[in-house]
Amino acid sequence: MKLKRLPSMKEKKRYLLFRLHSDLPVAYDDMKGAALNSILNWAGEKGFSVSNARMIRNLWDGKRQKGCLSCTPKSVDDIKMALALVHQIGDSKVIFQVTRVSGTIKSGNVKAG
Amino acid sequence: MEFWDYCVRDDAEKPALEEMAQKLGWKGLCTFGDNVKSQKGVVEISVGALVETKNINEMKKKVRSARKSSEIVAVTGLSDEMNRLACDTQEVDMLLPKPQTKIDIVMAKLARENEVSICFEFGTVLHSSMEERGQVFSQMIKNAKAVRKSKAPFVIVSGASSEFGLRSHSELIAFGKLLGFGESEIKRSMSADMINSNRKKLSGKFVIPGVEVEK
Repeated sequence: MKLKRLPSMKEKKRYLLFRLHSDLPVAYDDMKGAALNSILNWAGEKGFSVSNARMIRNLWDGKRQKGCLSCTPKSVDDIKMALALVHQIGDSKVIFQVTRVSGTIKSGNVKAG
Repeated sequence: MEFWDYCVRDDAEKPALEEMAQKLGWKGLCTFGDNVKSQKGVVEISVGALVETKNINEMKKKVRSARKSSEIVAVTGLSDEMNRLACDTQEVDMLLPKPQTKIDIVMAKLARENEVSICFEFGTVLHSSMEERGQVFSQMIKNAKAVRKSKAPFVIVSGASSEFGLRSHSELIAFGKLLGFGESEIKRSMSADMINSNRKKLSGKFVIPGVEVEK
């Protein structure tokens, strides 16, 4: 019999849909580096590992500068704060705006528009 | 709910600031600049008076003269003595303590009696470096504890000096939650209540809470 983890044993996630306001368009890799580095600085290595923060690559919209990041429900405020502390990527000044926090990607996309 | 950012330190009149505030979902901004005019567009801009002096008598004079015309009167606490005096002055709406200055329980109680809101500026955390950031945030947590314990009014502000210093209300709510405040009280602190009550007082119709003169 194949051992399988029960669905109720899965860790819950929160998806943070964000928008990047900047004077110049920002590439995905630069954005990801800046965001995760800021989370690491703010929460520390332990906080970063507990938060399980992951940037979702295929949800990055380069044209509209919108993206999605997943984390644990308890660390949502820390992640929001860490993203708010990013003020520059390369030479361009930026603002991360979290537009929606949702439990599934689908509902987040529907409600955030 | 409509939110106001009560402390923007932008000195120049910029449409970019207004545009960014609209994108971030602000209803209004209160700026402390000499070159800015009040306007009622998509984003309301109100010009407040920021009193910044080391002389106590001068501070009192400036606050009284500013109270007659300005919708928001704020005092920058350059010392502990100044912080305490600002908390003890009824004409003051907001106290902007300098980074790493202490707000003790006595000051917080005075602030509650005189309805002086203690400001927590996101900008001071944003513009400080690694080690300093930790110290600034640590002092803010201590100040927030005193404010919570004495039930003094408070306000979470961005303290932006340009359009890229602004942050949306959801980020400021997260900042407030990390300081230990509840979500509903943070939302209430950023609502338009303070500016609306001051506008009523300036209109001349206000007598006491619940009593207004109708002509």
